Parts: sequence; C-alpha cells; structure tokens
Amino acid sequence: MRRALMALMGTAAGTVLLVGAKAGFSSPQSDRAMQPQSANSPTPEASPAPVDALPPDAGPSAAPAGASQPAAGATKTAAQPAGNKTTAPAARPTTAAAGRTTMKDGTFNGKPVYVEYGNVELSIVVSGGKITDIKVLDSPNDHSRSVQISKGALPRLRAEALAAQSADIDTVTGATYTSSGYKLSLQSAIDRASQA
Amino acid sequence: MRDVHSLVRVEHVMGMAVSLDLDDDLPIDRLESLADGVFDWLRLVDGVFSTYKPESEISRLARGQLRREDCSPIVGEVLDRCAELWAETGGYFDVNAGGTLDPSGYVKGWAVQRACDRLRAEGSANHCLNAGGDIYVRGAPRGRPRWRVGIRHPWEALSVAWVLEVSDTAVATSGTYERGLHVLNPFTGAPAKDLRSVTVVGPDLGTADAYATAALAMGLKGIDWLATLPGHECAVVTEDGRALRSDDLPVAPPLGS
Repeated sequence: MRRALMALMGTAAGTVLLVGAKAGFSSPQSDRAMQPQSANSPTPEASPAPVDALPPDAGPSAAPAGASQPAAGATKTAAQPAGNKTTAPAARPTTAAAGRTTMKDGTFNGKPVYVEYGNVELSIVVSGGKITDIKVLDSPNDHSRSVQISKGALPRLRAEALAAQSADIDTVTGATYTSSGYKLSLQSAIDRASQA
Repeated sequence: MRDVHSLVRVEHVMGMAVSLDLDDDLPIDRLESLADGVFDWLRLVDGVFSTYKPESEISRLARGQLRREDCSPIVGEVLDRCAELWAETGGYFDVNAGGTLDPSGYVKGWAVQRACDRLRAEGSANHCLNAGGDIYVRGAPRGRPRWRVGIRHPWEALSVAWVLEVSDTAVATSGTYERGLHVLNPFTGAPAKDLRSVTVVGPDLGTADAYATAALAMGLKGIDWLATLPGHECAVVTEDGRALRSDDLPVAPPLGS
C-alpha cells in the first residue's frame, strides 16, 4: 500500500508539469505579496544561503532505490517498482491515470508544505475515482510584481518586457522544482480524498 | 479510419519528474516498449551517477574508492565532456564547484539527449522528453508544425514568459527560483544570484544545460557571454526583473497571427 502510494506520488508529482502545460496555464491564484529577497536590498555576498541545503529530492524515495544496483551493465536494470508508471495512451490531454485507489469524487486541497524557499500547496480534482486535475495553489516565490525594464540593453541581447502569458503549449522548461514538496502536499490531498 | 496512437508517461527518476510524450503513430505495444527503454536507461544512469547514493560509481569515485579506469565507460565519457565544458565556459561550469565531484549538472541533459537519440534510431520521429524542466523535442506533436515549449515565468509559477516553437532542439533552463541559490560561482564560492532564470536553446541538451548553469554562475556578465555562443539562442531574466533574449530565439508568433 505504501509502495503503491509512493508510486502514485511520483507519477502525480510529475503530472503537475503536464497538467499545467496542457491545461493552458490558468492565471495564478495566489498573488500574495512575497517580496523578492533582493529587490531593494543589495546585500553583498553576505547572504547565509545554505549552499547544499536542498538536494533535488530530499525525500525518502531517493535513497533506497538504487542502492542495490551495483554497476552499469549493458543490460537493462532490474525491474523497479512496477507501479511507478503512468501510461496514458491515446488521448493526449493528460488525465493522470491514477491507479486503483478508492478516492471519492471532489476537489481536495493538500496541506501547505514548507520547502526551504516557501510553501507548496496543491489541490487535486477526483472524478470517477481518478485524479483528473492537479492545481498548484501556491509555490515558492510565487507572487505578482511590477516589472521595470531597463532601457540600457546589453550588447546583442534584446531587452523586452517580461511577459506573463497563458498559452497553449506542449511542455514547459524551467528550473528543476522541489519535487519532494509537491509529493508531500499531493499525498495529503490524496489522503483527504481517500478519507472523504 | 485507422487508430491514432500516442503515449504520455510520467515517472519519478533521478529525483525529479520525467515526462515522455511519444507522438508517433505506432502500435501501442511498440510505444510502450520504447518508453520502457527510455526509463530503464534513465534509472541505469541514476544508479551510476547519483551523488545521493553512496554506492553509485560517482560517489565511490569521489571518495577515492574506485579508480576512474575501473568505472563504466559512460563515466569516462561524461567526465571528459565536463572537462571540455569547463574550458568552454571559462571555468564557470565546474563539476567540483561544491568541493566534491558532482557532474549532475551535465548528466541529466546528457542522459535525456542519449535517450532521444536512441528513440530516433528505434523509429520514433516525434517525441518530447522533459526531465525536471530540461527538454529535448523531436519532430512535432500531432496537429502542430513544431513543439510549443513555454519558458516558465520565474515569479509566476503558472505563467510562461516566452513560448518557443521548436523541433529537433534542446531547451535547458537553470534558475534560482525553485531550489534557491544552489549554483555557486566557482571562483568565489559564493552563490550566484544576479540572474533568476537562464534558458539556452541548442542542438545538444547536455551542452545547453551546462551553458545555462555556467551563465547563472557568472552573474550579470553571463548575459554578454551567452550572446557570444555560436549555434545557441538564449533567454534570461535577471533578479531585478529584466528580460533579455537573443534575436534569433525561436519565439512563437502570437496566436491568431
């Protein structure tokens, strides 16, 4: 059960990107005023940033998986957790095939999870016992702000207004996100759906 | 009317979500088999290169418990390329910047590129592989001339700052907005914080990813450095909110035009 849930975590966390992308990026729901740390305070290198503080995935799932994998034979790796796959054949829009949990239909918010640089909070929409949508309610450093564009364009790169658009896109490039936070918030949302 | 197939699969590998979109009109079991190959490969790479696994080859190599010549051939290949990238970036892409051997900044992109090259060799002409925000796309999805790739807005998680239209192209982004100030300037040891998001577009994902990380580490002078890179386009957002891009960045025309 636990394994199944973790597998689901992995797939569903990944689906955040996809769902976001294919759903056409609804406008941010939280524009809490979270000021950029450095906006008007040019503190020099004194910032106590925890340099290696946040591994890409600090979650417990990272460690055990490969410990038993000795080396790089040319052959395939042994079967990993079999449930760790979501395949959505045919239909392109991503209804995340969410496995066989017994979840009640409805919308369930996950607990906000603090992840080093801010809160992550998700909600899931359950329909027909499956997760059909995942919304990001809050994410680190998520805020609106007015943008000032310097006219002093640097050589050979063009200065532009920083746009914030919704668009019909297939995928999104961005800094690697804090997947452990997404997993935790997602898990609590699924727990609530299962208990409902 | 014949069946139309495509397959989307998402797994959690290498500490991040990896999504594969196979948009080829192949039998579904063929698509499944291609996807299996991609994720098996990524798990193999993770087992060899993960710095979070004490028994990985890269961890044992870093501790001096394994000699480089005793490592898998892919370890030598990766470290050789990292050494070249160190030179190409004036020392700003440095696998030892954190004090211990960590080629993760190249491995992810390299592994994705390899997976997509193999997909092509095995008969897939249209696919998109996105590993934690670093992407390779080939061909096009059904119904479009090219893939539309959004560059995430560095302050608004649900918006995009640019939309690219690309085929047979790698798109890599390094930024401070998700994992904080995790990229170090190898010359000062200080975390890089002047650039909030750097996206590099080019033919090879490992290289594009390393260039993006190097530019982030350079800070503001990374903007000028990016402008000099042959064969690569870029988009940058500074910490104070300036947006800059190269003239030939493959930006999508506005919808409806």
